[in-house]
Amino acid sequence: MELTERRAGKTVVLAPAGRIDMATADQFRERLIPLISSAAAGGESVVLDFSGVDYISSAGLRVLMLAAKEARSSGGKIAVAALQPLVNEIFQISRFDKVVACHVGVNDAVAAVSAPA
Amino acid sequence: MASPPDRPAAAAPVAWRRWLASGRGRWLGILLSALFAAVMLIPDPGPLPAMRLAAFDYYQVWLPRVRQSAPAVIVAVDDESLTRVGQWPWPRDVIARLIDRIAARQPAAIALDLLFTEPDRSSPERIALALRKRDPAAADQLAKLRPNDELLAESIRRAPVVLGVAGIEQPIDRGASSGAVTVVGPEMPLYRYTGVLRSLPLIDSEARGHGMINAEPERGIVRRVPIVAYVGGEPMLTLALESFRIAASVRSFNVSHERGVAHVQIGDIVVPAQADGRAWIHFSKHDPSRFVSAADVLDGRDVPDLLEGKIAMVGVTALALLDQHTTARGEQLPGIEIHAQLVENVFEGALLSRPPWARPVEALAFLFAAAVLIMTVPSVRPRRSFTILLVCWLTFALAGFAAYAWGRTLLDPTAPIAGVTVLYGLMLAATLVGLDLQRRQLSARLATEREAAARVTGELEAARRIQMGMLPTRDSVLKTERRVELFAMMSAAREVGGDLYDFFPLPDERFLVLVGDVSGKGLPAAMFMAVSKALAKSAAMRRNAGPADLMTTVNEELSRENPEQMFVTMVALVIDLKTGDLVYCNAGHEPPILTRRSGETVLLDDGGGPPLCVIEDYPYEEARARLEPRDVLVLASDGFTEAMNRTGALYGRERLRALLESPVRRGVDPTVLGHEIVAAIKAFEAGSEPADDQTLLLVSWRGGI
Repeated sequence: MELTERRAGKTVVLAPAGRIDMATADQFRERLIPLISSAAAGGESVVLDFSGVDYISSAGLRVLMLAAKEARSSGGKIAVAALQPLVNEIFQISRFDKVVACHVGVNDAVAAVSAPA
Repeated sequence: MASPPDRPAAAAPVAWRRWLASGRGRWLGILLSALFAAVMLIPDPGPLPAMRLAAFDYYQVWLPRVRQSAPAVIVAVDDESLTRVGQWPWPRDVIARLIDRIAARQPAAIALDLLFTEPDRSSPERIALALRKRDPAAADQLAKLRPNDELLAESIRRAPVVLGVAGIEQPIDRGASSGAVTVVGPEMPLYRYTGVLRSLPLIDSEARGHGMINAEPERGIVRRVPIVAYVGGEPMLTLALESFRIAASVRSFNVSHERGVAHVQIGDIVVPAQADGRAWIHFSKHDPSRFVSAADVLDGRDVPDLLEGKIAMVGVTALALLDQHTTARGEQLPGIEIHAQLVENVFEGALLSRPPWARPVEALAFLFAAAVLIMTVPSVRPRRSFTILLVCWLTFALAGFAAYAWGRTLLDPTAPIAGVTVLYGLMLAATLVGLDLQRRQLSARLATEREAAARVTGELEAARRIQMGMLPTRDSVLKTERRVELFAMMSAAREVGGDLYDFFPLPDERFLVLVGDVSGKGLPAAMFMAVSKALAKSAAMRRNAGPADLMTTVNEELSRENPEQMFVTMVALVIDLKTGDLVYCNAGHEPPILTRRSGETVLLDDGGGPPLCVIEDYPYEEARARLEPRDVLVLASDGFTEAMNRTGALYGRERLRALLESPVRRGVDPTVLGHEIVAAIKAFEAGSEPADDQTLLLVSWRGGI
């Protein structure tokens, strides 16, 4: 799995690519969780660009759950954007769209997390 | 008291093995190489002299010197001469005549490999003495004749004769030093013969030169002869060199030395020497053309100009006289031929040498090869490293032979060969010991791991039995409740799994069915599954509440103690057995599929919320549906819908729905349908191992009453 990071204003956009499963979940988590806490400390938000994610297993969903909890406790914001159809279906079934905010486009997500609460 | 399990004694590495194998034997190799190189530098005779000398001898056997000149001719007292002239020793007047005959042929010098230490017994005055009583007249007549020794002394005086002198190791002095030698310069580092054997002063004093006749065999083999030594207190050249001196009419010779003899100079001739004053003779084959029979010379039957300008060397060759020596080539040569070969060596500049740098060069060559072996042997296969050893052997042998053949330099291949061979053997042994050590450690570790694995397997097997025992069986429930029909199966990807299902009757003629899936797999998931299942059952029974209440309660309870941050997807359905009314709540699980008798399928995906433990205080919502008799509810875990075939394609919910909607299966019993679904999934997977736990639960309501 590849992870690329870029910035859009006060938002960090992290784009994983490939499958987020048992094999790659730890790598994803080790990158994502510190990113959220440091972003929150700097008053910034995190958007996950999922356009490159082909599949997410329950191990991957667990990372998103941890990310959501981390965001909640550190006062940060996190959103997911650009889900592929299969990943979108997984989000629908698992109701993870209720755990993290899902957006169609990355820009929508950036705008949403940047908006004052 | 707990004690660590016993380790097998064989697995404990013995200290010496560990030391031998340390650095895969490289430290040991370096130590040994340094030691061996130091030993190689020990001066003559040094280590393993026999091997070295044997190698030098073989050079000469394979490639003897090719004789290019004939500066010396041997006047041989051979068997023919003994037959014709009479038994040896000959009367000295005969020898005097022989010298006269030789001198008449005008040789450059006449070297006599003969000693005349006692007066001649056959001299006339001696015979006169013996005949005195028997025939005084004849005795008087004889007494008038000149003594043979005088005749010999006279002949010697007239010719350029070099007389043999023998250095001996006993402190006796047969014939005092000539006193004719003057030494200029300091004491020289020459070999000292404590005693000397010379001819009678009468004869000895008449010779123009005196040369050593010592050949000094080493263990019976003549390789190098002293070319200059102290004999009876005087420095003396060997017979061959002294002959050159007399032939060239040079009055003196120089010995140049600095920490050992470097060379001997006689006029224009420079003869290189070893440090101890010896020289290695480069032997050629025995050559009869070097010889002329003494008898022929005496009779004037020799080739007239054979001796002219040459060094005539007189010596005995008759086999009975036993002056035979074995040379480096293994050939038996008369002593005089060895002196003649030395003359040729000096004349042709063909002497062999073992220069002072030979030992350091050999030691360096060994060290270089040793370094290569130390680097390679431990890390390459034995066949490869043996090839390297062979290359070392060949290189040393060829280099030694080439130095001999083209440089007349004696380099020793045997010490480096012996060194690398010992080193190779040791390195190989150390490598093998190291490998053996590794193997033992590995097998010990493997045994421990197997033991541990067996224990874990045993425990997992027990855990599996417990987990499977926690799941309700169809028969136990249906015995008392005839209004539902069920099919349930669970298959864990590992020994134990994180899937769960449950079904039991509730008060008020309701029936609860639930399926769940803990995130993760194996033992942690199984433990969390057990807790989830127990909580769900107690929540359902205690409160007698709807599925949303159940979810909310279980979510709260589970979230409270969840150190591993796991989550559970769960779907619970409550069927009113009287009416077929269905209330359900789905916490992030695969939605149930309601299969109507007509074949139509409905996805029950309303309400619900995220998986349990994800959001602690999530308000789960219920949704409703209505069952017709013989409708079938299909609940699966994602292990089913995400079952993969070999190409990585997922089975998918649509395939499942298509299967359920197929007219063939319309109105089929849940048990039959369940088995068909399992078979279809297995066929799809086509033998690839399921990656996830798989759970399938089918329920049908048979209608009220």
